[in-house]
Amino acid sequence: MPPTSTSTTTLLPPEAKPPKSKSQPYYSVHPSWQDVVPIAQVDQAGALAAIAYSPRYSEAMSYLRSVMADTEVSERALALTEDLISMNPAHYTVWIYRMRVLRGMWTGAKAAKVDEADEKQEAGDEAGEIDEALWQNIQRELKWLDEVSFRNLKNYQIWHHRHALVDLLPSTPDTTAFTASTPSQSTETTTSDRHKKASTAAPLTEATKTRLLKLVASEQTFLAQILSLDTKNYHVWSYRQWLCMRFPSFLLPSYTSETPSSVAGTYRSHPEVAAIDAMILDDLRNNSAWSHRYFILFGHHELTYSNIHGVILKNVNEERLLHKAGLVDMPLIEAEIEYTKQEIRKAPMNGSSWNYLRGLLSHSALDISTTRDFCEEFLGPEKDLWMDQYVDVESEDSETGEKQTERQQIGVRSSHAVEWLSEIYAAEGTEEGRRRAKECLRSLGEKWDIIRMGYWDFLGEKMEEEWKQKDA
Amino acid sequence: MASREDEFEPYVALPRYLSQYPPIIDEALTATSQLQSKTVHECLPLLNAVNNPSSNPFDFDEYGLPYLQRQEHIDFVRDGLGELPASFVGLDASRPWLFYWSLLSLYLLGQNLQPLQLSLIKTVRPLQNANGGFGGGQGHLSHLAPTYAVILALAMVGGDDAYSLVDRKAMWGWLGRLKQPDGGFRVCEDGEEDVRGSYCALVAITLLDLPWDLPHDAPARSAGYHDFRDGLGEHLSRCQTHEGGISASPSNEAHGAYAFCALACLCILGPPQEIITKYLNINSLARWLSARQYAPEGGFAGRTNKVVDGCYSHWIGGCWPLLEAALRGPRLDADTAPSELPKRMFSTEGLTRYILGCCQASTGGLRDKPSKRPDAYHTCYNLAGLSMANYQHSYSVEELRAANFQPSTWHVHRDKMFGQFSDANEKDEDQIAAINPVYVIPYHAISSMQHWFSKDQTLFE
Ligand SMILES: [Zn+2]
Repeated sequence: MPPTSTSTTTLLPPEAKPPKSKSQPYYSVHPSWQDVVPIAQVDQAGALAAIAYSPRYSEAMSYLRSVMADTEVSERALALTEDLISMNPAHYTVWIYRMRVLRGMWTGAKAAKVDEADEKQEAGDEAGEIDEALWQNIQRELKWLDEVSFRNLKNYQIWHHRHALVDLLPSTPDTTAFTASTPSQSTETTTSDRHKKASTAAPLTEATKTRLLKLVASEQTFLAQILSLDTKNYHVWSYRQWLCMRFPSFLLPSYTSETPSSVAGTYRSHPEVAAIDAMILDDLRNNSAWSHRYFILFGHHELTYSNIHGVILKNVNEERLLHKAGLVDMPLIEAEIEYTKQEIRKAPMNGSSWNYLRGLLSHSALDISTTRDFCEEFLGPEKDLWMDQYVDVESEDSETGEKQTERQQIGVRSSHAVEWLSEIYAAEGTEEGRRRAKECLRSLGEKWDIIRMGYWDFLGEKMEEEWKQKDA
Repeated sequence: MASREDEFEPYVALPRYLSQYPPIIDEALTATSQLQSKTVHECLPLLNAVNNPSSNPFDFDEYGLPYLQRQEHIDFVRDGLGELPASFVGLDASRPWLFYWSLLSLYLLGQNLQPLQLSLIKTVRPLQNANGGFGGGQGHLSHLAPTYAVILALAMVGGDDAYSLVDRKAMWGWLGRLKQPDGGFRVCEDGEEDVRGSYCALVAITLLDLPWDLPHDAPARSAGYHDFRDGLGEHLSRCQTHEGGISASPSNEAHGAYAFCALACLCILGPPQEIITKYLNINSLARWLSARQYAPEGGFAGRTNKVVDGCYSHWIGGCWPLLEAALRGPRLDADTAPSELPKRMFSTEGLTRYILGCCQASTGGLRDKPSKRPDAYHTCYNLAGLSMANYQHSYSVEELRAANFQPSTWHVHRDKMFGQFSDANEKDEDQIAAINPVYVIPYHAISSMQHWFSKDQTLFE
C-alpha cells in the first residue's frame, strides 16, 4: 500500500490537514464541513468483493460524492481530493475532479467538464502570453505532483494529471502538426510538409518563450529522475512523448533547427537526443529508450504525414511517400545506421537495436540487402549457420608443444542476424539464395530459436508460395 | 511432440530448449540482461520439477507437466469475491475488474456461474451513473474499463434481470461524448485517450446492440464524423510502431496489452483478413508478436527486452487467434477435425509449460512469475491463455457472406491438445473451457446478450 501523505508542499495550512489516523472521523466533526450533507454508499451487504473501508476513507468518499454532485469549486474540495489521493492514489475519479476544481479556481468557473467549459483555458493564448497567476498556480501544483509521483512510481493517473496541467499552457506555433486531420479538413499538399499546419497559435512573446523553455527543461530533469528509478515505466515514457508533440520546437531536433535540412551534424548534442544516448549507454537493452529515439528522430514525421494526408504508412511503397514529401533526412539515417550497428555489435542478441535498425530501413525505404555484410559478421568466420556460439579449439603451445583447449566465440552470435539473412538471401532471386534462405529458417527452427518454430515454418511456406508465383 | 533436440531420458524427457539455458548469450551485462537471467534462473527448477528426485511423480502428467490445480484455483477465486480487508482500498476504483476476472476464471475452470447472478446484479447496480456508463465504485465517474468489465460480467451470468439493468440510451449518449476527433476514444470524460478506450467502447456498443450512429450532440460530429467507427481504423493504424507491435497511442512503445485491444477492436470493425491487413502491416506485426515468446521460460513478455509475465498469456496469447484468422482468412468449416487444423504460429507447448509449471501458486491462484504472489488478474489471464493454447477459432465463408458478420459468429475448434488436456476420454469438467477470442467471454454469453438487446430498437428512434 502507498504510504500516507507526508507532503510538505500542500495547498493547505498545516492545521487544516486531515489527521493520518484512519479510524477517527474527520469531516463530520470539522467546523468547515458542517454545511455538507454526505452521501453514503448504499448498503453493501452481500455484495461481491466488498472492501471493508477504513472509517476515514468511507467518510471522505461520502463527502466527495456530495461535493461532486454540487460540482463544488473550493479550497476544501481541493483538500478533500488530496486527502483521498493520499489514501488511494489509483482513484481516477478523484484526480479528474481535482483537475476540474483547479480549473474552476483558476478561471472562476464551476467544476464543469472541460468539454462543457466555455473555452479551453489557455490564458492569454491569443496574445501568445502566459497569465502570471496561472503560471504560478501550475508551478505549485506541479511541485506537489512531483512529490506524489516519487512516492507512487507505478501509479498512472498522476501522468494524466500532469498532462492536463501542462496542457493549460500556450501552444508553440507548431503544436498542431500532431493533431489528426478529420475528413472535412484533409487537404492537398505538395512539397515539404515539415512545418505544415503550423501557425494556428499566435507567435509567442519572448517572455513566454523563456518561461516555456524553463518549464520544458525542468520537465526533462524531472523525467530523468523518475526514469532513473523506473527505466521502462510506460506511462512516464508516454507522457514524455506527448510533451515532445506538445512542444515540438523545443524537444524535437528537426523542429529545433530553423532550416528543415539535415540535422545529422548536430543532433547528438540536442538535449532530448543526449538524454536518450545516456540511457542507452546505461542499458543498451532499454527498449523504451530505443522507441523514444525512433519517435523523436523519425516517428513524428510519419505521424505528421499520415495526419495531414490521412494515408496509413504500413509498407515500403507507402513509406516512399515520405521521401517525396521531403521528410526523410538521409544523412541522419546514415548516421543512425552506423550508430545502431555499433550498438548491435556490443550485444548481437539485443532485439531492441535490431528492431530500431529495421525501423531506419523502412523509414528511408532502404533495402534490407544493404545490411548483408553486416549480418554475416554474426555468423563467425566460417559463415556456418549451425556452428555453436562457443567452440573448444585445440591448439599446441609453440614453445612447449603442450596441447591446450580454448573456448572461442567463432560460431553464430545472433539469431536475429540469421533471421535477417533469410530475407536477404531469399530476395537474391537465385537458386543458391533460396537454398540458403531456407537453411536459415531451418537453423532457427531447429537450433537457435526453436520455440518460434511455428513462425519460422510459416515464413518458409510463405516464401515458397511467393517463389511459386514468381516462377509461374 | 515438437521437441527436436531431446536429451537422454531421466524421468520424463523434456525438450532441451524448454528446460535449459538458451543457445546464444550476449556477454554485455546490463540491468535488463541481469533481470532476464534472474527470471530464467527462477523458472528453470520449476520447468524441470518432474525430474527433481524429491518431486512426487503423481503430481505430473505424461509430458512432465504439473496438473492444473483446479480446486485450489476455484477456492482462491471464490475467496477473492468475499469481503476484502481495508488494505485493498487501492482496488476501490477497479472492483468491477475483480468481478470479471473472477467470473471468467470460474467459467474457464468449469464452474456454473448462475448462483452468482443475484449478487452480481446487486453489486453492479449502484455503479451505473444516470448520465451513462459504469464507474469503478459508487459515485465514481463512468469509465470505459469498469463499464467493459461490468458488461462482460453481466453477459456471463446472463438473464433478463442482468440485461435489463443497463441503461442503454444513457450509455449511447455517454459513449458519444468519449469519441474523439482523431477517431479514438477517451476512457472517461476528461480522461486519457488510448486503444483500451476504443476496444472497450466497441465491445459495449456491439454487446448492447447500440446504434453505430453517433448521438446528435456528440462533439466528434463537429469533426465530420457520423458513426462511432469513423476514423477508428486509421487511428489504430497510427498506433503500430516501427517494431511492428501496437502502442497505447500514436508515438508510444509497442506493448502486448494494447496490441490485443487494437486487434480485437479491429476484429469488431470487420473480418480480420480484410480489416487487419487494411490497417496494419501484418508481416511486421507477426514478427513482433512471435518475438514475444521466450525459451526456456515458454511464456510471453509484453514488450521487447522485458521479462515473461503470466498475464501476457492472454494479452499476447489472445492476439494469436486474431492474427491467425487474419492470415488464413475464412478457411475452416465448423466441423474441421483436430487433425486437419492448421499448425499454430506460436508454441502452445511452451506457453502451457510456463502457465502450469511456473505460474500456479501452491496456495491456489496463478501469478506473474514464480517470485510473485497470485492475484485475480493473473489467475484470469493465465487461464484465458491456457484456453487459447488449447482451442483454435475461425469463421467460415458462409459466415463471412452473412449480412451481419461479427466475431460472435466465429466458431471454436478443439485443437490437438497438449498434455493433460489431450486425453479425449476426459470429462468436460476436467478440461479448460473455450471462450471467444475477441470478447474474452463464452460464445453463448455474447449471442444471448446481443439477441436480448436486438429485440428493443425503438429506444433510439
Ligand atoms: Zn502481469
